[in-house]
Amino acid sequence: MALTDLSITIGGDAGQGVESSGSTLSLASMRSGWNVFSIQDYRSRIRGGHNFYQIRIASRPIRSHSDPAHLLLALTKESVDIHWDNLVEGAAVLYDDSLRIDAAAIEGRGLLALPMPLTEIATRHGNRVMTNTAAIGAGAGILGLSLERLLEVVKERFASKGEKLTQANLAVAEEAYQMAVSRYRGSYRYSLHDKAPPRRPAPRSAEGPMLISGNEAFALGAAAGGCRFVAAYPMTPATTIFEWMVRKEKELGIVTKHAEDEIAAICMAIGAGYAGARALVPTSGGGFSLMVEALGMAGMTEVPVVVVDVQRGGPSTGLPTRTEQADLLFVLHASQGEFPRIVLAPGTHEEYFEAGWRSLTLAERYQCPVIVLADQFLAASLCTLPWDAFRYDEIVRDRGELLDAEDLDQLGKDEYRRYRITPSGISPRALPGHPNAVYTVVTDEHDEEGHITEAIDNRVHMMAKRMRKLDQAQREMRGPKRYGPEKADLTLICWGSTVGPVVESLPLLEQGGVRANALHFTDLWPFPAEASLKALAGAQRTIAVEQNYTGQFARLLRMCTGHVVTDSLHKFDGRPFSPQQIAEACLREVAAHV
Amino acid sequence: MDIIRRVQERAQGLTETEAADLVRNVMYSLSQVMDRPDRERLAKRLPAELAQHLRSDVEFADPLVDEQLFVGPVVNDLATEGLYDQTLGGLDVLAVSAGDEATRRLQAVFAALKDLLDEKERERLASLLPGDVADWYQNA
Amino acid sequence: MSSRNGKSAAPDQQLTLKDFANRVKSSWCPGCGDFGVLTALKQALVELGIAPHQAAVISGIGCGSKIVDYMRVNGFMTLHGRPLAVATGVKLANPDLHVIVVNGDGDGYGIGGNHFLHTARRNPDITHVVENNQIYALTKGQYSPTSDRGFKTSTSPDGAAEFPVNPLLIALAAGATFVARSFAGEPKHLAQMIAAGIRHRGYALIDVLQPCVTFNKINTYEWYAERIYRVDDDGAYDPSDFAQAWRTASLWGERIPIGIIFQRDDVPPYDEHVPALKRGPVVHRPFDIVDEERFASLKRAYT
Repeated sequence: MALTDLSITIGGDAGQGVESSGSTLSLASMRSGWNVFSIQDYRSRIRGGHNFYQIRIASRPIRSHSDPAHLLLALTKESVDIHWDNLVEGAAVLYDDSLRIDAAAIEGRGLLALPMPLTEIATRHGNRVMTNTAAIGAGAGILGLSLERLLEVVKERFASKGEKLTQANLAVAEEAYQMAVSRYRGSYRYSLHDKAPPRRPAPRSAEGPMLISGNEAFALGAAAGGCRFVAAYPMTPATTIFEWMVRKEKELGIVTKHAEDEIAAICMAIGAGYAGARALVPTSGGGFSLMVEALGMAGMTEVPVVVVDVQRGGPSTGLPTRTEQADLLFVLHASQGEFPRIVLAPGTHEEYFEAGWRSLTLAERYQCPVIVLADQFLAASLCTLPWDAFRYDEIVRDRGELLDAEDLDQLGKDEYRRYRITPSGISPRALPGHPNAVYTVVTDEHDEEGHITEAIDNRVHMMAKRMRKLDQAQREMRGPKRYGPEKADLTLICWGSTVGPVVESLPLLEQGGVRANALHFTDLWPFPAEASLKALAGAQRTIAVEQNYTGQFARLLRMCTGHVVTDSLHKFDGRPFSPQQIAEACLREVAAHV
Repeated sequence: MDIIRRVQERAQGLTETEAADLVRNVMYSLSQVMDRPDRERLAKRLPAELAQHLRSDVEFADPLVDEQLFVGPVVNDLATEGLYDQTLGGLDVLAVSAGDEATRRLQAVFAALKDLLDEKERERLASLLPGDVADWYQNA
Repeated sequence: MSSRNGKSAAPDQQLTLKDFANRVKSSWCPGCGDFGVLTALKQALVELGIAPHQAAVISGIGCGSKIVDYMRVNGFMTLHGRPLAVATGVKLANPDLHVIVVNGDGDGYGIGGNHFLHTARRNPDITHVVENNQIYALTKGQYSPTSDRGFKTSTSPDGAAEFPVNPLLIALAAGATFVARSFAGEPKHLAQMIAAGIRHRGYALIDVLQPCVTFNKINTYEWYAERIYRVDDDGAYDPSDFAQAWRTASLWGERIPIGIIFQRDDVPPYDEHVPALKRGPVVHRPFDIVDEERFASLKRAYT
């Protein structure tokens, strides 16, 4: 059966190279002309313990992984036991024949057992460590992916490891590929539809589609948006943003600092922002918790700074390598007292890229902290995007009301007021270094010059001035985006990265007899209440779909608009929603209320 | 001690020990703002018990000592701590009048000093005192 | 020294202490040692010809940290314990600014202890003046990390039971390249130490013995004056001798050394290791580097 949408799972132990083989196969698939969406599932360990990689390949653009899978590449027996319940009828289980796996048991479940001498091939060419390369070679052969593209990617991947290793891996991949084709292609029920046109001719072209992870997209957006200072403390799953910046430091002139702790990181970024750099701090919930006091400093002193909270399973150390959306209300309210902040929750890879530069611009325009809420699922998943998904001319390069040297030259010696009270609440900002802009910044309540004062009038005016900035920012906050038909019986409400699986669940719901649409929220504070109410006006049943226990977004929505959702779908097991899970649960919910 | 008694008379309400401490501190502060030759000249006019408190280890005056640092050692000896502060924690501060009290005590010592010096020496001393200290001295 | 933002401080204009004065009335107690620090800091900047717009004074929270409010200079009063981290960010973003951190002993050695340790290791070109009065004054008289054992306060009613921090030793152990101590009661000496610290290219610690006239009746001006001695008094002290510096820094109690305890000039400041700063400060023109072509090449890595 020729498919235009199928999934492959690669399962093994941590340390077997599941991640590298998964990403290699993903890229090879994209180069073969397919749209790819990949996720990884791994534990907070260096060695041992099961982990897996799931690749979805489709002819149309896709936003999510999909269950069940059509092919399992099993590097361990455990992988078979764990995944064989999540395979379609007739799916193939390809495994190393030296593992003591009972083919009959596999066949008994309506699956196709495909033992192959993967380890033998690998060892013969130099090292059993290449077993995973053999596995993906075989997998590519079974499915009918382009051998040429696979070898091209393998060659690129191993280039840094030297000629000998590269040649060995190429030989392993090719032999496994050919063997799989000759032995098993005929008996495997599924294949990739050969009519699905490769969207790009071989070889790799200058402006073809990109396969990129969320964190990389964000980093790219931030760099293109003028980010010049990044301080961080390594924390899963945000570390890859920081490491991208460190790799690019020399080329892009970005100052990066691996600080002694998260408090140092956020304080350095605020210092850099005060001096005038566009500064960014990537972290996760635990790191953000440490940064809470400093967030208030940024808000009180009106220094622009961007913090990215890439959420993971909590509370406390929680599930470090897994996903969740449970920091929402925390970041909205973090730090004592009241001060303006902006919170963005990108959901797609394009939105996450955009948040990279948009957060920096918003921070400078409104001179306040901007928090970007992402999560492990968005951060680590690979998505195929067209070349145009990121456009140079869409990037808004605006530093807000920043006074330059010429502006300052016009002022008298002590005329400048850093915190001048204005109708918009935004005070023109001068960077330290100019003789006409010598000013004080304090975290106490202060007057227009920045000096400490407790006077009643000043306090009232200064607090109002700061908070007024949110009224301005509000105008830029986008309401929810609708996916699906305008009129529907069921409206799925989601925020952040659940958009992918939610949108992919809509056709499944349609097939199940329920006409559904989705409202996806990305701008969370200042909350776009008016636009939200408008969007919700025609909704019938609303189900909030979120990855937390207490339904944080549903509570936020009610707080800001009064809308009470009809029902909620929560998932807090650290794994991302699949479109199938959402569709099934919603169909059940609808049926129960008929 | 003559000087001590005179200071007690002028300042009112100081014990002998407090007066002695006060005099010692003022001598220290004075020596901060005087070069060695000035210090030695002053020492000759003072009874030995007073002169011994003038520093001998530094050559030059410290031009950055202002009225605040001059008065510092005197304020050290003032009772500035009240009872436990139930609202804010820590000790209640009674330092509001510390400045005035320090000035008052300082002036008692200056008055006693002036009695020991002739016109020329008094003026010489006045010229060495920083900021407000010179005014306090004139009015002592 | 010209600033990148337009006008430069006319080098022929002589700076005076008045250039650093502002109209804010200080809330320090009369006689507070912080007055000495304030005067000495201004004097050091005047001597070095550093104008108010060319320096950034970063402080924490505490009585002494209010220094920023009382001076006409680029000032940032941050959070308790955090000025070194903020200052590092300022310096890395704009190395053209002379960055000076001023905070107290609790702020610098207690809650700020971690940043103290790591900043000393890191050696950024920052001058760190610690107003060490061996007490927490703003919160009205609790003991601090440098309080001597036995010091009685409202949070140590039976006398402080912990060994006091020796900041000079910690700095030396962490690899600090300039370690000095002075006394607020001798502002001329203090000004010299601060100037030497600013001149030093790297992290410079100046631990300042500073009497709190209101709450610390033990470590008074007199108490310090009786104990301090200048290390270079006998002419034989060599600040580049680490072993001697270590022995000297260990002294406390009856004899307290002041002066430049240790200095080495062969370690480049941290900012010189930062590749991105080779092009100058990163605070102006942030969009200049990623142009359309470079943007395309960044994307191409994912095709």
